[in-house]
Amino acid sequence: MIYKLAIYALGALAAAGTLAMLFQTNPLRAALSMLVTLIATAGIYILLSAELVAFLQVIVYAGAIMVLFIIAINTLPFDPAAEKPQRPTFLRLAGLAGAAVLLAELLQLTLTFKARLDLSFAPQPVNGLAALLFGPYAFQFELLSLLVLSGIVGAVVAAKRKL
Amino acid sequence: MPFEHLLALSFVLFALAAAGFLTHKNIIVLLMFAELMLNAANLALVAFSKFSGAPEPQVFVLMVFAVAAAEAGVGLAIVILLARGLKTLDIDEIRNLRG
Repeated sequence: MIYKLAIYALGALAAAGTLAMLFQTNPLRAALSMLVTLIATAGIYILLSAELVAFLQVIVYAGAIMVLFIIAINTLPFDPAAEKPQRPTFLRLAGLAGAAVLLAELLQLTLTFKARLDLSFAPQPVNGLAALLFGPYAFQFELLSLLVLSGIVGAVVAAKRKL
Repeated sequence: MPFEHLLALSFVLFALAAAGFLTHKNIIVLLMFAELMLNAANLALVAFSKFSGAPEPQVFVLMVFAVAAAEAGVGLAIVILLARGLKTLDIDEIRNLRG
């Protein structure tokens, strides 16, 4: 029962964080709202007994990626909050309508699922995940390391003024 | 709890992030909304993992983490480059590729 209430509360918090971001024109404040969403999602992961994913969410998303964003905002050569904040009204309405259509379609899809979820805590052993990552998914895992390597090289080449 | 409520939460988060992606005009904020869309998809994957009791979806979540980190790194490098050259991050002002 308490798990259920906690999931609903954390879900509402995550949605509120994204909603606050939607109405925020200052990028730094938007980044802080995003942090609320990411940490609330990590809480939901723990309640769904995915501890490893929850901790990695806090470390990778809320830690590394958010720090990257905040450093990028702070190293800009001008103040991004001073720019004209809103797109033309027509484009904003079109964007909102597109997102509403997407949401309606997806929610329609959820109506086809009718299942109960057993929320009792059943920790997933990290060994099981590791056996999958280094067993059947070893090739995809190596491809990911290649992706990250090329990402590092690309970022350095892009940010360097002269090679 | 009903399984579809978790899916609905994931979809609502995705749609809110998509709405932000389509209405904001600062490139950095657009990148943040893209990350939030990935985050919403992760939530659906973890919900499916809990529902089926199988750990496979969590493996995909870990892969999405790596892709998101690489995307943020390269994307922000490009953004800083753009900001240095063009002195603006407004997507309605940056139209050099429009021909």
